[in-house]
Amino acid sequence: MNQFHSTVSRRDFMKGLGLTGVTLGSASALSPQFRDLDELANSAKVVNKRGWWVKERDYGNPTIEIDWNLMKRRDLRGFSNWDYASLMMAFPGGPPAFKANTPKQAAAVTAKAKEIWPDYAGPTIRDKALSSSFWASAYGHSGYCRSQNQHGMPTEIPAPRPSAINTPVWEGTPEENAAMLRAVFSLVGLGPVIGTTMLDEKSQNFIWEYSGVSWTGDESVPGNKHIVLDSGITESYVDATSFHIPTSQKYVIATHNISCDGFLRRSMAGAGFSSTEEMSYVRVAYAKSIVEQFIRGLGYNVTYGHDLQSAVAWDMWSGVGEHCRMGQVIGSPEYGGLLRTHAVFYTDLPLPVTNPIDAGFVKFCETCGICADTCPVGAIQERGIDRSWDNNCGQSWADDKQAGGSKVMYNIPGYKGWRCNLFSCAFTPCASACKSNCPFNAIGDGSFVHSIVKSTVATSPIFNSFFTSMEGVLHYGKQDKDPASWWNSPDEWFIYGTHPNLLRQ
Amino acid sequence: MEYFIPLMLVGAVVAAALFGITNWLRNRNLKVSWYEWLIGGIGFALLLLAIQHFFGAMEEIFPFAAWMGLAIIGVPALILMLVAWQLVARRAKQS
Repeated sequence: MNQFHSTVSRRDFMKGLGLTGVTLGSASALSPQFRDLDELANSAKVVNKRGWWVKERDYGNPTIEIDWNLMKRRDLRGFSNWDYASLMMAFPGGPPAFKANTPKQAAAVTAKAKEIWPDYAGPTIRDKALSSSFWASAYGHSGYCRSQNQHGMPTEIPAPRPSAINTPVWEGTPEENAAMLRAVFSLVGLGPVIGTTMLDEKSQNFIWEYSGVSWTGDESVPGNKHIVLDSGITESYVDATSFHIPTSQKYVIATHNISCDGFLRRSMAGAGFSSTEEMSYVRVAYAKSIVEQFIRGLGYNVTYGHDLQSAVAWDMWSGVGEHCRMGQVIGSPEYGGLLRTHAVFYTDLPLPVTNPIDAGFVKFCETCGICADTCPVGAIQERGIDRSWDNNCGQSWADDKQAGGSKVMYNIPGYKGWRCNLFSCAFTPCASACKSNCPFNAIGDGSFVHSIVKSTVATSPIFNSFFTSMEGVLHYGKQDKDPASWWNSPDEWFIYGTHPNLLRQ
Repeated sequence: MEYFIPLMLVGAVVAAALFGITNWLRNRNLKVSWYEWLIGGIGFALLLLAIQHFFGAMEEIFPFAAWMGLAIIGVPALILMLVAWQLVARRAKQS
């Protein structure tokens, strides 16, 4: 009998009895080995590892309401929530109000830290040094992030096209291609959740019409570029005024790198807004460069875009996660708010479609609000505030320059949800504290309780407020660990700063 | 299959405990009603969950959650098992 799924037959196994035989036999039986790509592509390991309670929805039907008359490609020229000059000009009340607000943000974080750790004396030189070292390498401050914006990585030896080495172009089914990408992504530190979806008449509205102000420091004219969906080309290119994405690159990949969870749970320790995970941008810049070269080497084309689109929208569209109260963060049923810097690719390598999901996340956020409790500056809409079509940045949609007004909007219209007040959020030195506290951050393969809670939440909202209270009692995400203890806890010094259970594919 | 050995050990302990209890009851000719089995069984299941939660949360490096969970789940577990034992013991004493 042809045995595809185990390389050890029962007879061989029995023959090999004895300690060595048993050990080897068990190892073979426990580690799946695949005879061909078809088998591999059909394995549960090469799709997102999901609980039974994560329900798949129809394509194009995420768990929030979208008004397609309002959800249009956005003009973000002049927008930036990470550029002092741009934000200052857009800030309600202008530069004087912005300058007056900055010390208030720092004071609010200090007050929150005092509330959590009454005896905490503040960051020491080692905290400050680590924070500064992240900051030194981040964004456009160094060469490390230079290729994060929408460019191919400059390299002297790009991966050769198959024709250049007399090899046929890679041919695989969409499922095989997805499995192959998942393997590569695991190597370079992207995932574990990977969504693959399509550009279509609706979803293309997630791509900005004009990009905002760039921040990686590698553009001669920083950002503010016209993003053209171009049917006349096969490779993307950028010039001084525009960025062209070939329409043939209709397959979209949405993923992230994952947070340094233990470190993130101490983010409010006051070492500054760069104290948490600024290196995630560097990591994604590195990872995306390898992905670009890999797909090129297969004989296909790819476009990476850091600030070409609403990444959260692609996450929802492709089932990476659901909308959540934090607004600008994706809510992952497996990883909560721990999906860090996004990585969105457009490619002509055929890929299958992963559909939107419903794990009860949006419904849970309606009664939870722990992230809003954690936010020191009130940027996140509090418990009791329902989803709406409103702006929540103190702006009026009527002033939207795309609706005949004169202002750059700091949120986007067209969906019924929660929106973060970016004017409050930007430059607050809390180091993404909100993301550390999400009850869905629970680490898998540990306590039994997480899978019971998550499956119950996905099935019925009756216990949602009870589970929120229990999160408060058990302190899973609470930033109550001694902020200095990270330095003295070798058990928490994971490679990549991430608990290994969170890294499993 | 990752947890095959610990699960097997838990199974062995549960089986041995049940065997021990039933033998002990039989040797002393003690009768246990269905609701006493139920109360004791729920208590025992909760105790197993409390232990799993404790080690699971420790593995996740959440010691506060581990200890608090042990108290929240483990104490009711012990109370239920105590109730079941007392019901049986007092009835046996009366007869």
